[in-house]
Amino acid sequence: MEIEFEVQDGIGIVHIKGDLNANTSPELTTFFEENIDEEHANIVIDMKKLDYSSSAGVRALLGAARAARQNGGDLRIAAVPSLVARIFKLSQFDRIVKMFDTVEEAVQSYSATESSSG
Amino acid sequence: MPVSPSSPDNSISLRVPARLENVRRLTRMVSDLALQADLSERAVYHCRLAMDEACTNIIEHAYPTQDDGEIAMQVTLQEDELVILLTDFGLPYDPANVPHPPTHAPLDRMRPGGLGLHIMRTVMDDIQYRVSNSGNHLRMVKRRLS
Repeated sequence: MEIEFEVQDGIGIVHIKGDLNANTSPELTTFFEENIDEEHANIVIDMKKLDYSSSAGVRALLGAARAARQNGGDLRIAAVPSLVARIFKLSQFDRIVKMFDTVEEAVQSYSATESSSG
Repeated sequence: MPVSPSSPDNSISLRVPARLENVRRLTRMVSDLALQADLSERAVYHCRLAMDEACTNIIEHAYPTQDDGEIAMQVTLQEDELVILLTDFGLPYDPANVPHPPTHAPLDRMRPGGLGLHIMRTVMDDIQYRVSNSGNHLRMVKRRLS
């Protein structure tokens, strides 16, 4: 699994590539622990190049979503491959986080939220 | 890594140390045989997912404090189905004792292993668990036309 991180308009964008499973998810959890804080609490996960996720991956993402919200932000998912989307549905993770077709839409959703909330 | 592979045309047997770094190897072997069986891309993915969840559950729950445990895998391609048999020699973990999660069960409140088990039950056509003197045996079936 490879992780790349960039900040765009104050939104932290995490690109995940490869497999997310019990063996690799601790690396992602550590990454989130080191990078989600009050300054970077609005996160977008780009899954365009994610080949696979098991329930261990879902749990790592759930932990990150919780951390983002505790820091006053949110975690949103973009470009989920159809086979990976299956486990999000089975685990009901798709009810917990917002999902978007593209990274751009996910990033823009934050400004839309801020505009609508005042 | 000590492994004991044997591979007739329609069957693969392998025994590996029960460690997370070995799960990918086991799941890949199952995926390859499922592809060979002309299962759909979705069905192959489901077999991989079920294998991953089953092996992870064994490592985390059958061998919670033991680092020298083993997993024995036998995968057999039959006429209409792929049959996966996993055997471990640790603590029994009977899926029958784990209830299906309620539809709205909070993800983070599921009992350990519960989510993986829910996924295995959902994506495979049949799952059976048997405890014997020779180990704990998990049998999972994926039918060709499911």
